[in-house]
Amino acid sequence: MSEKTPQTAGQGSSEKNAWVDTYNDMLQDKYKGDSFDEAEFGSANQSETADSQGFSEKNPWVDAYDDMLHDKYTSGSFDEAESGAPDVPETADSQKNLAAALYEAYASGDVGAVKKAKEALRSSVSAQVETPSSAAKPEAADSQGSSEKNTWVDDEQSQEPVIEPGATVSISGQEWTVGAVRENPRTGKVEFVAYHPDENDHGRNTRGMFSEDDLKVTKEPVSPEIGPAPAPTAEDYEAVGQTPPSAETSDSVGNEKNLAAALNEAYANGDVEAVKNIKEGLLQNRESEVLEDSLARVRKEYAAARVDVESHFFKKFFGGKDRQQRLDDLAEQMKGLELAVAKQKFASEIQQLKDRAGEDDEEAQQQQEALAGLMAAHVVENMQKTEQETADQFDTMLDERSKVHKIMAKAGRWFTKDGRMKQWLKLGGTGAVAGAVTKMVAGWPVTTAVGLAAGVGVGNAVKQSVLEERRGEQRLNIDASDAQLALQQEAKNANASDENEALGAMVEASVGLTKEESEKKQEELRKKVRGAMGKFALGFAAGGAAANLLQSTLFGAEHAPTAVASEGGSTPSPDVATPGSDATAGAELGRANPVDLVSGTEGLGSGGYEYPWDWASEMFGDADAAQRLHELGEAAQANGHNVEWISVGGTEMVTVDGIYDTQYVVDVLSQYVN
Amino acid sequence: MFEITDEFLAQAGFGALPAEDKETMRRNAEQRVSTKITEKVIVVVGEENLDAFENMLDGDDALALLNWCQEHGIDLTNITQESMNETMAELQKLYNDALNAVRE
Repeated sequence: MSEKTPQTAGQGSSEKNAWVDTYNDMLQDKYKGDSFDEAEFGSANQSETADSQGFSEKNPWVDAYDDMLHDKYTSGSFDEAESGAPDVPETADSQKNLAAALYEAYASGDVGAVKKAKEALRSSVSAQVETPSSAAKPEAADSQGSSEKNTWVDDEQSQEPVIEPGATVSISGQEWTVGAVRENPRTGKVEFVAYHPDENDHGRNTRGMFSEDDLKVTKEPVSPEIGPAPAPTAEDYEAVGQTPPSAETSDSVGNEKNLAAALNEAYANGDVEAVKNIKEGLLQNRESEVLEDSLARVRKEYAAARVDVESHFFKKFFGGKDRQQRLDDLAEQMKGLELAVAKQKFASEIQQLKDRAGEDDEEAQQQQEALAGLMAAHVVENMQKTEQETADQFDTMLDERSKVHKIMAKAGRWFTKDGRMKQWLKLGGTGAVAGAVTKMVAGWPVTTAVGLAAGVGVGNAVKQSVLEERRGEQRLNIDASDAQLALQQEAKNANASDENEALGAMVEASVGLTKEESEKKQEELRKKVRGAMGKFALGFAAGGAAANLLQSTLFGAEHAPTAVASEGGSTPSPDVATPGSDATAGAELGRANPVDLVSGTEGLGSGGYEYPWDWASEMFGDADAAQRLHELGEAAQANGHNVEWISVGGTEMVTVDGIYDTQYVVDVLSQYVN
Repeated sequence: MFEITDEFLAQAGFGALPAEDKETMRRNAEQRVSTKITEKVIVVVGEENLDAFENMLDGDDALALLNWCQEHGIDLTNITQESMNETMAELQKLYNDALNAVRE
């Protein structure tokens, strides 16, 4: 045995590298004391780092070479050697021939031929092993990260990254500091925790778990907040105190191993097309892993933020808004990730629909809409699961922080769809009540959303409301008549025997106005209705504006300027309670200054607009208001004004020159109306 | 107090779901509305009335509970309608986002 028998010392070299020992024995026997010094066979010495298991699986031709050498020097026969190992795959002919050529060169003692044959073989094997991390790569007995090299043909002078605590390694062009290191008992690969010096938004160093295979694989984060790709197994997460990824992620790890094995086979077979497809599959699998783990992280953060909000429910002035904002931001982030995951899950169906584009547009569109519904339902389902898991965790908390949550749960038992209140109603509870409570109850159940149909474009062609059809008509009249139509629709859906009764009950139940409140309030409420519809068109949540929807649509000034339902539910104006009387009453009013319509009204403030959107709605119509506002903002920007659009908790706000004031914004933007 | 009807689901964009998925979607929408209702009720109740409210919830007298809500300015119908509206807007936005993702 050569003294320079390779650096597999301590790693079972004799066990793993029997063929090398045989090779060295051969050389000793043949060339004892002769001119071929071992430097010539340096590459052969390096080859002992190949793991025998890896070689037998991944490099059958090498095993064949080993067999050839063994047979040659045990049987004394050259026949088998010269004919090559019978089990070498047909498609590995080129490498088999190269191996045979190398053997011949050695046998002939031709140093130049040996060098050439080695070079040719090295190039061939290097091309074979240029694969994704886990595929077609002989494992290095040397655990110093020579993962992507078939080291027995590598250059003797190659540098290998050192993986040990405190070392610095390069991952995706960034320098990471190695923490804990271990060898995965299952795969035999070196895995390690590493830290990146950049701080994330939590004030901690970015941390991740990597494998030796990752040292040359790009691991770009999906977004700056998400961080590096995680370790591949649940065990490895637990090793650093992290929550193991979901079962789906574990399955994707198994899938990656299968893909890696398939890739190895494709290389062995020389199937270029299969190699390409499998590589793409591996890439998608890795992207899916990153998404899934990012989603798991955000879910955890959302749960923590929700607990935080509920624990400080009434502390609105002590960080309450920030907590709620963080919760809202995380909810949006979670929705986005859920949708991205759903998109991946349905990727093949989406692609099929795209491939069919042009064949039958209408049917394809319907199928797209159906698929979108499925994806959105999938997202909602997962988000509800997260909410439920959060609630379950909260239930385990026994201290006072959970008081609000506990009372919410009790309230939920009363006021949910099938809660105790409904059961009481079913038992004839209404017979026992009187006064205002009767009116409150009479408005139940609520079965639909009011006034939203026109505001949000829904892909499956929800019927456009009259607002859209009557665009350009007198604003005030349109609002009133369309509100009536919306109410009529709502009343049809309501569980009321008499449409008038339902409307009347809704009026009285929705009243928040007292006799003391002026008609000015009615007009402001109507403007909020238009504001709410515009916001819905931009995808905003209804929020507080919708809360006033009922009052304002019912108490629009053009119908009943003096009809203010008092607290306690006085009889509403006949105009309001009889939706059959149509918009003609409103039409008679014609276009008028909103102020004039309301008697006894104080000034409505600057221009009477609460939001810039209200002004734009007056000028351009509800459907175009948002777009025209943006266009005017751009025109103002081009003329030297500083126009900013700010999204806050799902609501978009505009400032001009840093000023929020509606009048100022309107004054500036109106200058650019053509 | 409320009902997630087929019309509600259709308006939100989920009218074409298979039956089983539609029922799941209905349950999820109900849960979202319920959560919003309870949160809004608690906000109106306020911290100072929380204990009294809890006592009412622990009882069996629905009429007393309704009167208590009425006396303390808790407009349950309005709160329910708000919650339905908000849920509808969220679902519609989500549906539109999903449709854009499919059509990209």
